[in-house]
Amino acid sequence: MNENPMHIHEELLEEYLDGTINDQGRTEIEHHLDVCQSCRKEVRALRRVGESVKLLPLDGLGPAFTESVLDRLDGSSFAKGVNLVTILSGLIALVCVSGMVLAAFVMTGVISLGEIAQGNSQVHAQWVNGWNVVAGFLTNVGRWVGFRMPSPSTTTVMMTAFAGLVLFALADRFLGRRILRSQGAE
Amino acid sequence: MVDHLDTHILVEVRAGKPRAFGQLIDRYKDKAMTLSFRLLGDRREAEEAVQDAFVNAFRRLDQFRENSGFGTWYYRILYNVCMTRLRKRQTAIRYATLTQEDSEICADTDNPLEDLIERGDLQSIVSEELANLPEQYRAALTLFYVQDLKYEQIVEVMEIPLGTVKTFLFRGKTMLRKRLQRRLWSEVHVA
Repeated sequence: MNENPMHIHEELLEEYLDGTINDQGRTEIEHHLDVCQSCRKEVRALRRVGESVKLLPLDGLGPAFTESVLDRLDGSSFAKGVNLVTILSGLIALVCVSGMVLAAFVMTGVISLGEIAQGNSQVHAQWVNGWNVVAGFLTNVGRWVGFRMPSPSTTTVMMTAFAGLVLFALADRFLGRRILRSQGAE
Repeated sequence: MVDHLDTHILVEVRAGKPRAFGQLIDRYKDKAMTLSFRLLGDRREAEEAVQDAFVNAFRRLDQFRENSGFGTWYYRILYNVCMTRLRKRQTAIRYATLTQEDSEICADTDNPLEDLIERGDLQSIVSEELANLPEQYRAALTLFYVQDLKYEQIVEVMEIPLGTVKTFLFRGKTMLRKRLQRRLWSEVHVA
């Protein structure tokens, strides 16, 4: 029925009824409706369909529903506690920090890949030494820039803690999002 | 669209009164249940979905950005929960196309809907025919007419482009109208 160029397309009439059409379009449609009985009927029919959906009764839930949800919430908090995500994130952070330390040793020549493959007994000691070398390097850079730096051993501890914290946060965020998405919350 | 009462309740929840969340549940549960039931078609499952969505929303309150309004954010969670359940049922997502039968009704101007509507048991017929629409159309129509969301908010809830929202609404209304027309016309003529 809307192939007739003298009538307004149904989709435009829908937008007119939904109030999403601009002022100029609205005015043009209203002028047309003043003179076109067919389009007026169409508008009335479309309006009735919308109203019929709007007026359907809601599928209500009783007060017991709210209580049952709150009961489920009692054991949880949006301030996250220790859960599986946290534990997994900690493990991932640990592995990543170890990998970073190892990479630093290999790059600074403290140990070679061959030694790692052979499980050299000195690797453990070199591991600690290497991390200290990196911390010493950072301490010297800091002093060179002009900062008051703590001792290299303190820097080692701080550096390890900071790297762990950053990786933990990243892992927790990533895992949290994955789980959230699987629950339909994202 | 930010609702100030929602904001006030959320401040209380975040201040360590989790049971204040119950006020938000009371505000949204009926409309949420309507959306969920229309999508899932099973009352028990719909109630579970609404409950799961509230629990998920509570646990993720720290990720809620208040610029979108709690309702829109919550309906998005609920919509995703419902769609996940529908997918688990392996319900194929159907994109509607007008059938030949629908087109014939469309061309019939001798039985205007407004005349027919006066005669039938409209509420139950609308409810049944709405339930038979494809789920995206049901969702868009319900979000628009029941949740009173604007097009842009439906975009956020369903995570589809604005043009697709308009198309879903238009096709949903057109399809519903034609089905109502056919149904009411046949009831009048059989009577």
